[in-house]
Amino acid sequence: MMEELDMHVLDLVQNAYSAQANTIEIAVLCNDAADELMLRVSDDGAGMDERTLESVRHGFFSSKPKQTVGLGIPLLREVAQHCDGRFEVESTLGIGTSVTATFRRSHIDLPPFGDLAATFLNILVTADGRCVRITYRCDGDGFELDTEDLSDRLGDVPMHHPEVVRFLRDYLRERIPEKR
Amino acid sequence: MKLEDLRKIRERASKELSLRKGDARVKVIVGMGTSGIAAGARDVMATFLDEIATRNLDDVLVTQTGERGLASSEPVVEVHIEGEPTVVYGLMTADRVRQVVVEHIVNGNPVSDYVIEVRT
Repeated sequence: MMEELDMHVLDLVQNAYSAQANTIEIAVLCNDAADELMLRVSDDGAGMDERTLESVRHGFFSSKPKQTVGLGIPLLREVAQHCDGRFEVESTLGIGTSVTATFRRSHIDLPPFGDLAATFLNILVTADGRCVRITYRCDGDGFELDTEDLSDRLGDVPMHHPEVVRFLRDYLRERIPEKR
Repeated sequence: MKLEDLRKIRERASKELSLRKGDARVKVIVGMGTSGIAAGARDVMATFLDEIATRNLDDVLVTQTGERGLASSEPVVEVHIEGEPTVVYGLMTADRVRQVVVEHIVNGNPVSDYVIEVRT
């Protein structure tokens, strides 16, 4: 379950949507000097109170009884800690939440990304009016994409138009190596 | 490949769009809660987008939602076609998505083998 890192990115974004976020910032950054990989998803959603935050940081958690929203969090925390990284959650009620996971890049158990280009494409095309910003920087490649900027460029042409999907798919594939 | 290229797409596509009325004919919703993602929703979504891109389906909107409460059938996909009952597919894979796109979305015949629910 959730054996690829980009699945965690998707999961964190879904958590942000569940928290009614309108602006979501996603960062995937490699720091070669520090041998570190960092994932961060920040949102302006509902945020969490102290008790919920405590269980997100340390427990096995879902804010919704009988549902599994949020269950990806402890898995991500476990992977980060196992790979000599950190797991940090900051959250303020009414302001938003920021989840950061870091990993030692050379750690032998670091999960692969799976298909990060497809994951970013999924997120951009289904943003559905929300502002989603993606920052990616790894091994000399990098880009920033922002659904507000894309929508400005597209005018009344929707993000799910086949030509736009093709464009974004190729744009992302060009900038994200197939296998990390 | 530069973002400036989007301008050309905009010019081409908005001409076609102005000939049609607004809303998408087909709406596809992929369940992207934790259990959906763990069961393969990423590849299901990616395959839908790939099919839209390669088959040039300009009247299909793909979107996502959180938990659907059908964890044992994940990944779950809902297909809404204007004027027809909503069809819910379960245990979807990339291959099944390709089949649903051709048989249901393009040709109008739901793929009954993968249907777990029909809502009128």
